[in-house]
Amino acid sequence: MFDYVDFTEVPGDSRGHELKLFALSTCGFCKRAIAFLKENEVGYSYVYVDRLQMGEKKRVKDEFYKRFMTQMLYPALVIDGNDTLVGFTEEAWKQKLGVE
Amino acid sequence: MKHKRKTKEDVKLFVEQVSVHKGWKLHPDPLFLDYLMEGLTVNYNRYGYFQCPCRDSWGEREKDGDIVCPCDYCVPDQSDYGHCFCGLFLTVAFSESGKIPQSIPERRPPERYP
Repeated sequence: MFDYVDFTEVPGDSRGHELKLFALSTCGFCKRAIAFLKENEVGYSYVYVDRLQMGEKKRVKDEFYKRFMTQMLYPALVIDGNDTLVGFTEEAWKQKLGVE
Repeated sequence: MKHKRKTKEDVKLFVEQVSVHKGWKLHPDPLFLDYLMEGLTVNYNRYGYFQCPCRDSWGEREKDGDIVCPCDYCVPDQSDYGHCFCGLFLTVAFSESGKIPQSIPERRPPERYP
């Protein structure tokens, strides 16, 4: 899933998950999500969707919609290719990622 | 016509003027506010208009017209959640409650997404 996307890797403890973050480089909630992952030393990979070419952006969003039957809003965290968190609410991300 | 580039100071002035004119409050957290100012500055200089920093863009003003800041969904979002989609503009009541803006559902119709 999304193997054609050039993700940036962030090392850390991904707690046994494969975490792919789709964000906008301009979005406040995306920056807050990234700060949360950093503070909790979570390992993940990310891409800034607003910096993709329109064709690739469309391909990513179509694939996301097909897989999860919901629009890609930001931030969107894809977990092990079969689950997702859309938008950033700290409590929800803590729970889903097993962060105290 | 090539748009004149804006600085973050220009954007700060714009955002403050809008909030005073509309009677809204700005996000209480200086760091988060700076994220949004930075995002609006990048988007203005990239697209030529204040494209909402938390939404994806067509890169064409006609298609993005409803999400040019302050967006068409700001007031309805404020009445439902106390603040706009990206957390920039708050109602006075929400601001005085001391609560912090969170991600909210997207009100924009999906057919308008890029």
